[in-house]
Amino acid sequence: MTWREHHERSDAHAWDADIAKARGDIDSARRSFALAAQAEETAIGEISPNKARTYGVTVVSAASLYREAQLATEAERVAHTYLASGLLPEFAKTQLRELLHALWDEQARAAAGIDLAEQPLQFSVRGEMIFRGVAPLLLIEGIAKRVESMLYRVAELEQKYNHRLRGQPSKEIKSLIQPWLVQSAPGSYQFAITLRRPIQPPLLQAAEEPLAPARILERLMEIMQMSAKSPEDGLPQLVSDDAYRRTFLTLTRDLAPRGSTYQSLVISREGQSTDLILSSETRFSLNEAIRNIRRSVKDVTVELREYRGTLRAVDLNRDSLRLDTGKGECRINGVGDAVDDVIGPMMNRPVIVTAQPQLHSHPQFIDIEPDD
Amino acid sequence: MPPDDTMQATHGNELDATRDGACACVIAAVELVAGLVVISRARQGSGADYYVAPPGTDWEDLEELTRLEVSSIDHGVERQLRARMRQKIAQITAGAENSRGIAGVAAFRELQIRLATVEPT
Repeated sequence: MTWREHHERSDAHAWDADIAKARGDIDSARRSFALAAQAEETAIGEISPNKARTYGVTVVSAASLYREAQLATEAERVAHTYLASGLLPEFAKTQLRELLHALWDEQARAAAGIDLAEQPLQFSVRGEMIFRGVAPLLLIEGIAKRVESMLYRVAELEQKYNHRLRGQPSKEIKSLIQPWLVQSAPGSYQFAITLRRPIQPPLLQAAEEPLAPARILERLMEIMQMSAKSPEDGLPQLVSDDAYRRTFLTLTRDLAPRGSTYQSLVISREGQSTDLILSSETRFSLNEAIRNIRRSVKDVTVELREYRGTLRAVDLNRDSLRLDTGKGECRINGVGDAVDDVIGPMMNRPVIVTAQPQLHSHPQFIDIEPDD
Repeated sequence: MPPDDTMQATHGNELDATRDGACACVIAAVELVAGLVVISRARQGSGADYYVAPPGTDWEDLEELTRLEVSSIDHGVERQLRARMRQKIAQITAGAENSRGIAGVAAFRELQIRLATVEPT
């Protein structure tokens, strides 16, 4: 048989595997990927290394297919054998090294007994101040904290909990939802967040089965995409509860850049070619959606005004917050439905508060965002 | 032809369906605009690369085929579309096989498909 015949046989098995995977039949998918890998490896022997592109692509394809079949040892064997051969073109060596890097990360986690969900959310921060492997700590910390908050919120939404305004998630939610930061492939500045699979699922009041980590990650990606894509029409169909929807919009908005520290945040999941790009334009449209939700319950004829300063205090008894504007203190009332995990990260940091000025009292709170 | 229950179930995951839809749209666009059809696929990472050529091409390996790099965004302004296209072009040229390639980006909300040809350096 020729290279083409072996390669086409491999591709046929790979198609079967993709279809089985889409159906959720993981065992069939693995078997088909294994057959595809074996056929592809056989194809390598039928092509001369002088045909550098075909040779390199086929070697990488064989190793990738073994990895998809979860045959890590075979994937390593192929990668090491051909890396050592001296026959591979440069592009194939680079791709095989990246594949080995990913495999070793997976094996290290498995050896440590840490069972992490596959297809983590990948975050890529881009901008003039962002370099390969280097980014401001506060920026990355802020993104990670907001994503953590959203993961808890998705779990609470799925479990039909009442929307939480104050305090931390319940112990049950925290035991089920354990976000982990994982090393991502080299890039501008990239990191990934996934969930650890619970060891012993605890009992939950409203749940019959534990929340699947993969489902939570998928749902969060859907919510963030819909928040950015169609915050006023599409998102209500995905998240019917007003309070949850407002919180997701606010947290997604706070992930998007204002354009100074970074220009865009790209969020993706492995295996899916559709990325979510959050930019300053996204922030603008989300601001409008958030303010329209809040504004609908207040006087829509009054102009909104921005108040800039450092957030110094949130007084729950008086339902207000206090800003240090640099020229004195400014009190804003009516923060009641602003949630802790939105306001918390902004304490003692520069913020912009949008509020409705009042004739005879303090301004009424509409929205708050970091001023970075 | 509207999708039947089996098709709906197979593509029930919205994100996977968006990805697969993007591939289908870009592949169709490449055929309409450039007269090239998918001849072969090869696995790379957790995805697949497509190789295109004129229909009826007699091929025995990938040497003369054109690589097709596909991506999509659900929504985006012009700047984001251009940025995604630059990213895909960079993937074809930077450190990879030095050969002809086509980058295709599908922007669903804007109802646009952008294609760019990359020539070997």
